[in-house]
Formats: sequence, C-alpha cells, structure tokens
Amino acid sequence: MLVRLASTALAAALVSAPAASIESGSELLNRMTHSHRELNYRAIVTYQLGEQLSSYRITHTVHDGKEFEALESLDGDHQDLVHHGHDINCVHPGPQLIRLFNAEEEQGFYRYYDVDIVGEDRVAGRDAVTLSIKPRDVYRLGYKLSLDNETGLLLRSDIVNQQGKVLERFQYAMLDLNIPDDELLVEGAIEVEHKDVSLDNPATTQLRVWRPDWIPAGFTPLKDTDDGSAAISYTDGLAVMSVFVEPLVTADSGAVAVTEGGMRRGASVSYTVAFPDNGMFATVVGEVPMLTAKQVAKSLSWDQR
Amino acid sequence: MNDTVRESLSALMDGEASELELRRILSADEKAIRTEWADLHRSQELLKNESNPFIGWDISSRVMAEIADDELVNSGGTGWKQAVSGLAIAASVAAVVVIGSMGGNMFGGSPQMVAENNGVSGRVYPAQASAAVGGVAVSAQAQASPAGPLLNNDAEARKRFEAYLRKHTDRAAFNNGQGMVSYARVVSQESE
Repeated sequence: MLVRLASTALAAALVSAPAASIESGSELLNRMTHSHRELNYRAIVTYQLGEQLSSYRITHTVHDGKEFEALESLDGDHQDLVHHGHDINCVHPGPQLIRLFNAEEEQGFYRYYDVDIVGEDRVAGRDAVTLSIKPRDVYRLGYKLSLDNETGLLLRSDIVNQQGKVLERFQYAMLDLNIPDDELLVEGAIEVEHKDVSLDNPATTQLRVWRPDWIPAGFTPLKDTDDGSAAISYTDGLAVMSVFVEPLVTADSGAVAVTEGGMRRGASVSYTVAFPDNGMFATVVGEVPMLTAKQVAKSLSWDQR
Repeated sequence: MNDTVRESLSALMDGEASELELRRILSADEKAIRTEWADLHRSQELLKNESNPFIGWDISSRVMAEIADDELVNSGGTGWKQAVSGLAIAASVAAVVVIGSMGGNMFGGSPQMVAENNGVSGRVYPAQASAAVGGVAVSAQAQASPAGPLLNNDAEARKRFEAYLRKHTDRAAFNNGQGMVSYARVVSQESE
C-alpha cells in the first residue's frame, strides 16, 4: 500500500512538471541575454506604469556583425531612438554574470536569486515559458519573465517589489521575426555613441576620489570610459544601479539646491544625498528597492587628499 | 566592534546583561551588532546540535526595507502641509503637557492623570516635537518622509532625475538582459 502511494505521488510529480523543463531556468535566462542582440525582429511593445500605458515599435537587425536598433514611440509625442553599429561580439558584464554560471553552482547571479520555471504562457501570439526570479535578500527586486519558446526573446517582464507588487510591465503585443537585415540602414540616422562598458579597471578607479563604502553583495562595477570620475554603475546580472556625483556649486549655474530624498518612477528609483564637507552631492539611480539606493548613497566616502 | 561590546552581547544572550552593558550595545555600530548577534546564535545552535530552518534570516533588514517603502507611500501630502500639521500636533501635545502638569501642581489632585498625559506625549510625538523645537520646517519634512513624493514635486530634482535616468539606461540596457526595451523608461517619461 505504501509503495503504491509513493509511486502515485511520483507519477503526479512527473505529470505536473512543465513540458519546457528540458531547458533549466538558467539555460533559458542565458538564452534571453543574447537572443535579443542576435536576431532580426520587429515588435510592438507596451510599457505599463501603474495606470499609464504607452506603446513602442522596436526594430532590431544584425548587419555585418553589427547591431542596429530603433525604438519609436507610438503614442503621445513622436520620439525615436536609434542605436547604430554596436559590435555583436561586444561583451558586457551583466549577461556574463548569468552566462558563466548555472543555478546548481549557486555562484554569481544564482547566489542572490532563486530562479524557477513556473509555467507556460502565450504572449504576442507565441508560446512562452514563464520564469519566477525571486531575490534572496532585501536589496533587489523580483522578476517574472515570459520568454519565447522558440527564440528565448523576452516577451513579457514584470518587475515586482519585495511586497509582491508589480512596479512596471513590458509586454510584446506583436513579434515579427522575418524582416530583412538591412531594414535600419537609413540615410542620415543619428548614431548614438556606444559607450565602452566593461569591468572596472584600476586606471579609472584612480581618477575617482569617491566610492560607496557599501554596495549589496553580488553587484559588479562597470567601467564607463567617458566619465569615470563622475559616475559608476553596478550590476548583478538583472538589476543595474548607477552612482552620479556632482559639485554642489558650479561656475555657470551657481549653487545647486539639493534636498536629501528619493524619487520613484515604475521600477526606477533615485536617492540623493548632499556631502557639504566635500562640496558634492551624490545620486543613486537604478531598478532597485529604495532601501538599496538610500544605503548606497549614504555610504559614499571621499579619499583624504 | 571591540571585545567589550562582544562580551556584553554574549551576556545579553545568556540573559545576564547589566543596564550598562545594554547601553553599550545600543550605542554600538548597528550592522556589526546584527551580524555578531546572528553568529552567536548560530554557534550556540551548533554547540547544542539544534537545527533551525530560519537560520540566516535577517528579519530586521526586511523590516527596514518595508519601512523605506512605506515612507514613500504614506508621505502623499505636499511638504508644507506636513510641516504645518507636524508643528500643530507638536504644539497641541505641548499644550496637553503644560495643562496636565499644571493640573497636577496647582490642584494637588490626580497625579495619575498627569502621568498619563506625559506618557502619551512621550510615546507618540517625539519626532515632531523635537522638529518643532528646532523651529525649521524643512527638518520636520525630512524626518517625516526622507524619500519620495516630496522630491517628485520638485521640478529641479525631477529634471535631474530624468537626465540621470537616461545616462543610467545607457549603461543598464547592455547589462540587464532586456536591451533596447529599457529605453521605454526614459522615452515615456520625457513625453509626459
């Protein structure tokens, strides 16, 4: 009797496991981080913030090993954003944190999040698999991601706070994978400068005389060659936060009125702290809980010169 | 954290901490204390060979995260209204205290009531009262809501936030696994 019970339970467990489990959560996540850069596609995406809904057309092509992408707003004021010529082989640290490890190793990204396949879904007329990504500490947000079964493209993304409330949602309404790769080779498009972002190196660290004394475990610094002395960004693979530092008094605009405090919009928050002794103020911006932005901003210290 | 504090903490865990030791712990570095407290419990459980499913849970940090979010939600009013109401409450508390203690002293009766009034004022309004003493409305605001809508209504701060968010997104889009879609955060904001 006991044996039969056990085998029934086992059968039930096997049946309830989702069909997509041939691929593990970490394999799916890994596919997500590079598929959106490698494929040619056009999509209509909605972006929802509370009551507010806006829609965009996204076009992405790869031509001669370079990425071309455009984001066009479809309602309100007409706005276009074009990225041209990003090298497809250019590697960024965020995806690396996901790519180099898998969930079983409990390393990198997987030390800080629990990744589970929660089921199947249908988004933009395509079959998708849904992942639940829950933070293990209070310093990150949670994610519910639906990925296209065929390509791994992120079709729907909910960013969820620690209390389980959805802060913002991206959702594809239409996806077309059959577009020519020279679709975006338009005359006169403005080329958005690609900033070389790679792992921090000692050269720029020396330029910077300030640093946060605390960042949550698992966040890796990115280097930005343009303004290494005024900003630094960190990522844990999904969340990114940036620290900006500016003088309280400038030659052209005089004293800047800075009030300590936070600001929130969707999943993005900022927290500003003034450091009058150093004549500077710092703002932490990112898709992180307010607590994280606040603690990082307050932890800034300056080198003694 | 120094050894004295560590010993005090150990005494507290054994239920043998003196008043002095308690004060020492309360004035020591908060984060270090929390870690040490958790470590002490862990080693004690190991010694006793007990296992605890909640080991490694730091509920205090979770509570702090909730409070940080609550401050945002609750501070819906505009700055001056909060400051004024804070001052008004503080003033009324002060009045209660004065009347209460006058009652006690002048009429010689009901010392119990005096104690009650003082108790109420001490328990509920210390933050507002101290801000009112300082006499600076801004400090009352800062204490009531260190974050959120306060700055959302500040045009200058909002402009800065938009500029920072765009720069941040330039970096985030390459690293958050979402790519170009991330720019919807910036574009939707600018078209408001």
